[in-house]
Amino acid sequence: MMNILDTRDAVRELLPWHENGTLNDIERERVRALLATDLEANRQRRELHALREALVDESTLASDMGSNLQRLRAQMGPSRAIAYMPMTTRWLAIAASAIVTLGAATFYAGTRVGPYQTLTATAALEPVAADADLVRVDVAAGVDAAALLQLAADPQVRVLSAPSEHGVATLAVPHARAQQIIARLNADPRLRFVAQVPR
Amino acid sequence: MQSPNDRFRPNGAPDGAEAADDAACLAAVVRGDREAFERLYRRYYERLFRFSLRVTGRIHLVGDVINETMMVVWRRASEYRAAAQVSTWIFGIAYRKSLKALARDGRHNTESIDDVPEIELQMPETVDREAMHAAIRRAVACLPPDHRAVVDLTFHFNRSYEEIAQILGCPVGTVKSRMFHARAKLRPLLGHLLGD
Repeated sequence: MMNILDTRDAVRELLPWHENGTLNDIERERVRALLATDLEANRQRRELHALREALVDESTLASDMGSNLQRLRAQMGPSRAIAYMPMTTRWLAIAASAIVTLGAATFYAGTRVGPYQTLTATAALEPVAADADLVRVDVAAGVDAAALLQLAADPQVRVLSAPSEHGVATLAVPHARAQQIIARLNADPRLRFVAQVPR
Repeated sequence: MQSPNDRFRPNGAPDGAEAADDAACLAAVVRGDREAFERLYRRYYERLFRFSLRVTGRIHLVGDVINETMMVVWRRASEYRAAAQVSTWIFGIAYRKSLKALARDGRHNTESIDDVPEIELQMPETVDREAMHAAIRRAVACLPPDHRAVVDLTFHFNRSYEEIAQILGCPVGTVKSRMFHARAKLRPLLGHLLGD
């Protein structure tokens, strides 16, 4: 008996959604079966029908859509931009912007200090004698053009480019004595790198 | 087969074509399409107005609730999952925004259905249909907000109990329980009106 009552209560719980027509076929059949035999269920159904009619019958008061939409447009701003992207996309956009900014900064920094050179690359230098070799050196701080000439210890050595802020300098040395001069330069611990470079 | 109650469906859940267009609009919103967004806004404005007004019971909150709801749609369209209809997702947002607006507003609606004098809930022996409907709507307005939401989603918006559970973010059993208690509170009036 208890089970039957429990079942009836469970089916009566479905009456509101039987009234609005959203039950599935099985539930609808169960409600119909109950309504065929249960006076209380029929009474409740009448109540629900009246309730539904009253709510559907209510006129909508909605107004001011235009001004509300205008307000929302102002909140949304001129363009969607990054602000309305999902988080993952937003982070990707931020990372991409950072990379572009960093690249641009590096590029312009490079432009300010002159073209990038390696120790063995030929730089744009003043003309040198045909019998001279080019020697590129990487010197420690404090070693200037005069010091290089002193270390080279050869009157025909010329400093084509004095040590840059990064310590790179270029010398023109007589071809006949190039190896001896390089050896002398290499002997000084303040010179970190000495190499003959192609002309 | 159509239900005999289908004549009540104008405010109800969207049909297949409208649901598909909602989904298409939302996909366009994900791509930043303002035109599609405003189409959704116009389509849902009246429904959200009604729903928010029913949940909050305060007309001065409704405009903000609608705009806050649609701002979430604009910003988080990509988070929509097709497990529920677009309309169910939007109503769910509107429900939460309505409750938040109500909490922010602070002044609690002190009138509950239990506080309405018996005399006001009683109607003359013979009442016209409009007076009866007005009395019922007044009684519904005195229910707690979560009960009002269940009643309105069921009877005005024709939502199934599963959809209502999704909108309210609660189990189906809670939806049925809220409906049970709402009906229990309305029963004296409805019984009287129907002459039971």
